[in-house]
Amino acid sequence: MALIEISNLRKVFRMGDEVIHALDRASFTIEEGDFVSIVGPSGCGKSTLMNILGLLDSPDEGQYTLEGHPVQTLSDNQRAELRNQKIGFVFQTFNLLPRASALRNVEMPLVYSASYDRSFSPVKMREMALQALDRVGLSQRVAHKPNELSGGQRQRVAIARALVNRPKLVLADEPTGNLDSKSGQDILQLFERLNSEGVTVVMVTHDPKIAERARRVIAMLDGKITEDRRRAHS
Amino acid sequence: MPIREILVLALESFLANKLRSGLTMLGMIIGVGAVVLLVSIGNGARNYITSEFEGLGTNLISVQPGRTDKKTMGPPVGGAKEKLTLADVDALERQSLNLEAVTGVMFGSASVKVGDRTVNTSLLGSNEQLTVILNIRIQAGEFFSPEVESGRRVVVLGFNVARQLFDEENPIGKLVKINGSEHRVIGVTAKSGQSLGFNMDDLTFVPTRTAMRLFNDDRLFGIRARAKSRVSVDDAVAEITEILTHRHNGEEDFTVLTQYSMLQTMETILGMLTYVLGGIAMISMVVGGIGIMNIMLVSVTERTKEIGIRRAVGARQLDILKQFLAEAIALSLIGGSIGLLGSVSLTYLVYLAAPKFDMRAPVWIMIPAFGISALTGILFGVWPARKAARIETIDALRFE
Ligand SMILES: Nc1ncnc2c1ncn2[C@@H]1O[C@H](COP(=O)(O)OP(=O)(O)OP(=O)(O)O)[C@@H](O)[C@H]1O
Ligand SMILES: [Mg+2]
Repeated sequence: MALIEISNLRKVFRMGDEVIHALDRASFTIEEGDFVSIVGPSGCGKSTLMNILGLLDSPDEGQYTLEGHPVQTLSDNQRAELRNQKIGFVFQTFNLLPRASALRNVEMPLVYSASYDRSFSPVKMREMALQALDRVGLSQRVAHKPNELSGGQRQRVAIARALVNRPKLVLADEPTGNLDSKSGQDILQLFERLNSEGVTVVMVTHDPKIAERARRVIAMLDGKITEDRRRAHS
Repeated sequence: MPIREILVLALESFLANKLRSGLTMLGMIIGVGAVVLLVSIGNGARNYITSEFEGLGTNLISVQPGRTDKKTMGPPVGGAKEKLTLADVDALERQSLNLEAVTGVMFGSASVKVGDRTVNTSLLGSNEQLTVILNIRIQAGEFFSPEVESGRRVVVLGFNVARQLFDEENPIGKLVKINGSEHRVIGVTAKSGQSLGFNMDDLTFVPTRTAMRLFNDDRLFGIRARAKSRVSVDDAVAEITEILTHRHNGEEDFTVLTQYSMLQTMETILGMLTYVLGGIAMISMVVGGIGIMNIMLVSVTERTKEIGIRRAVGARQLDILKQFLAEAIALSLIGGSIGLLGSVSLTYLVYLAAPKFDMRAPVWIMIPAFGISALTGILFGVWPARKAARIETIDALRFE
């Protein structure tokens, strides 16, 4: 069973008279454990696709099956549970809570996990959050607020937040877009390590060098999938 | 989401916007403060009047001529043919088992004159038992004795009347002119002071028959009696009714009132007043609640992005609702507590300054004060919280 299966996804935005096909019959499957990068020019629908995959948005048409569950049939609460338990989302703009420390930011998903698992004590949450921060190399910065951290560090906090619940699937929408190439490399290495531990990673990027590090590259244009190639194993 | 976390979030947000939270709470502080103050004042007034009444004695019974409509509780309507006489008083005195003392009373105004001084007073005609019924104490001389009761020209002056007529001089044995006829002063009452706006010290007392002669009337103003104990009041009332009805040819053409029943009526009225005052103050709670709703709506808009982030990592609509509702409740509860503390302290300060009028807030006021605060928070917080919970995740994330 594929982890992700989409077929004929469509998403249309209307701006006045203009109709934008952000997604136009996009179909593919992603197996568990894969490392996929999605490339394409600006405005071709990459973010739209990622948002739908991450259950943040819904398609207008088409099927999306996640772990065998047709997503359309899920309730709002079930989607929230999947976002919490199965998916880690990394945003281009980090999306950290500005007033909360790195630790509190990383703990945040666990607070909502407590609804599903009563064994989540405050001590356990703290421990898991510290572990996640340690994995991204930020154990020295747990008390810092986002505005006291560099861009690369912020993105690592965001990644720690995405990892803290040990998700099956990590979705990253241009995680290195706002970073210099050195920081970008660090982030990429993090994803590679995660993937080697069995986590499925889907990453949007503009940078061809970064895209080439993935095992599979999907290219998009005007909402359509135009190319889907698997890199020869190295 | 665990309660602990909800509380932490509410508190964090509260502290992050101290000034704004403080100003928002002002409405609640004033609202709860006003409710507590007005209820305390009403309550204090009630206690004051109750204790004044009890000072007069709850064993007191009065009989007025004329029937009272039991439904409307209007005053007795006295007609020429319905009358109470000294014979009625005699009958009560001889036949009743539950009365400690009983007297017929005459009441009217009279001028009391000595030398070139005149005092216009209320004249009360009664027998010697009045001292027992109204707790009258005598400062000098004596009150009427049974022998002098039958219409002799003697008078007992109220404390203030004696002062006005005689200054520091001893009035005992002196002659005064009441409505022109001479009476001998046999006693002066001790200073008793005001109670319920009525001052016994301003009265002039004469024997019943003497008063009848002065007013040229043989109908009693009423009968006053004292039951032997508080518990025998009801029995005494039944007894009086039976004896008098029998004497009046089976007709109940009089009304028996007890101090206790008057007290109850009074308490009902004052209790109602307290609730009405509290209710009026509640309007300010509504104003406070609207303030909270307003600031919560601003907060929801301001934090749309945060809502998006929380939803993205797995918060359900209910979690968001709880978070914002808790914040509204925290605002109203903290505001309410400050209002409660402030107003309660104020009532204690007033008590320290003027212990006579005890309007200290009752302890039970805490329950409605907290209850109303929480309720206001819920009532006015639920709409903004629902609004927050219903924002689409993707729209919230895009919000700048
Ligand atoms: N909420 C929206 N309302 C209207 N149009 C939208 C909305 N979101 C996306 N679009 C349009 O849909 C198209 C796809 O947008 P999307 O953000 O998916 O592009 P993208 O591939 O991620 O671009 P970039 O590389 O610049 O991030 C764009 O033309 C965009 O203008
Ligand atoms: Mg994009």
